[in-house]
Amino acid sequence: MELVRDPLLDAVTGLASARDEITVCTIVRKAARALTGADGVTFVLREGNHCYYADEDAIAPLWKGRRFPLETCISGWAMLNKTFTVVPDIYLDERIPQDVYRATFVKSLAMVPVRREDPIGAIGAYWARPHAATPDEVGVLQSLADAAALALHNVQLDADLKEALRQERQARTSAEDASRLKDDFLALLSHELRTPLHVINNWLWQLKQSKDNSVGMLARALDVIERNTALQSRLVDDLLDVSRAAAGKLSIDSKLVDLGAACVAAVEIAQPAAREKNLVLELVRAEHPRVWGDPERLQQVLWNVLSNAIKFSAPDGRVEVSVTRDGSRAVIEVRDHGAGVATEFLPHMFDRFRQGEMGMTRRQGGLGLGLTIVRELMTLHGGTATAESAGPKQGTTIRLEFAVADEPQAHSEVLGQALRGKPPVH
Amino acid sequence: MTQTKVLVAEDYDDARDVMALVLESAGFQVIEARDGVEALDAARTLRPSVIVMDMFMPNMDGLAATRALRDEPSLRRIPVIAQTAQPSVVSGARELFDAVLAKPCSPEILIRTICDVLGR
Repeated sequence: MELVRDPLLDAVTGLASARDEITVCTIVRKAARALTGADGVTFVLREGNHCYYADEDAIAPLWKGRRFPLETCISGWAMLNKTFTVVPDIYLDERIPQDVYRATFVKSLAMVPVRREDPIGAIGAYWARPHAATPDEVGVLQSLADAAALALHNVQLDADLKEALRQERQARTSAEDASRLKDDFLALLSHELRTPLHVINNWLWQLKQSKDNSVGMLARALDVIERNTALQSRLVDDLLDVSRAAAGKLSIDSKLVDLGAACVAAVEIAQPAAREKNLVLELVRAEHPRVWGDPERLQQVLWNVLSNAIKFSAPDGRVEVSVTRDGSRAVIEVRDHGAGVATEFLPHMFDRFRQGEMGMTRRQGGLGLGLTIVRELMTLHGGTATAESAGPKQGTTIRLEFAVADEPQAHSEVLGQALRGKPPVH
Repeated sequence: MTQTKVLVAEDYDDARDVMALVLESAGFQVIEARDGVEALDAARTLRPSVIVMDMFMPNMDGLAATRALRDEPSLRRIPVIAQTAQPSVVSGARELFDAVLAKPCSPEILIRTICDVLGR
């Protein structure tokens, strides 16, 4: 017995294993023409309120790649009405946009929806002569459309599955990254806590061991022990602040604060650290906007930003501080000309546990929590902290922005002058 | 008898100062280096009997400096004691060192370890 190949069966088999839209389109257009003997076929997909002529196979070009509103187009009609239609003579049917057809060979057509219950597309068959498609032709076209609907559904499922897998992989990678950052941080924390402890232990042993400690030796020991104890206290304070912030338990006690005066004080406090590196630390501009803030916490913010700028400056460099009022915003900028930050690291400057990635050595010291605390405190103040840098070795500017406290302009001006210690000019 | 020379490589000034003091009190002659590069130079020119090496140092860290020492025939027999606040750094290269001490480390243990590696 001769084996007769059934083109519809071939198409359905091919569609069942299709895993992408292009394969579905290709099978449909080839099979649709072979099955109907039409002079051309189109495969149309619905995109919102438009028909998209995704693919075609015809004796002369039709509309591949073009989009038409659903209402102006016979494929749209088939989709909106969820049923097939046969047009024996396109020039006698008012649903046909004749201008669009005049440039083509088409004289008659049949159109079936893809996925009958809720159409996602349509398949069109076209003839170069007036022809009323037979029920058999329409039937086989509709069977093909049904198989295509199933195939497109499979393609979508397959894409969804791949996307879900991709998201799962991504989530796993970022969890692993977070865990690695945490491990690095714990190693750094252990190092930073052990180092001052080592110094203190050694000094205590030395003092106990030595028969007669001179006054000079005692003073030297006390100085070192004090410094290293302070270092450890700061580490512990920073850790507590970060863990309080993570638990949402960090709070501030707000008063009206003159930001200019706050910066004068902060620069004064940071001068010894700057001098140690032979840096010029200068308040280049000090306006006096008033903001609601916690004076101690604001000093902590300023110290963290200033000590960071000092830490990352090369010896003999400059750190410039300015306080200005910009409309309803008060702005503090701290600019250094030191290590700078790679563009890709900028968004992570204020994140926890990220110091390790900056290639730190013990010389910088610390846990890298300073800017994390700055951001948390600025948020509590209703402000923002941002960083700018043109890149490595290009310096860094940290910008703190606050809302200026509401008050009458005149009052603020008088107060500002009083704080500057200058008489008003008449 | 001449004093035993101990090279202390440590970048943190406070730590290096007090270790020098402690070791001098214990009767050693102390040579100081602030990073791996200085440590290598001092090892070549001053021939210490033993080296106490910090790991986390700028320019050249303690691990790299010790590897370089082990590569130099005239220096490879000098005992090296790793003294680090991050002992995990050493775990992959334990065979490079004659002893590993974790900070904080009491001076007694350091002194006893120095004597041990010198075979006294």
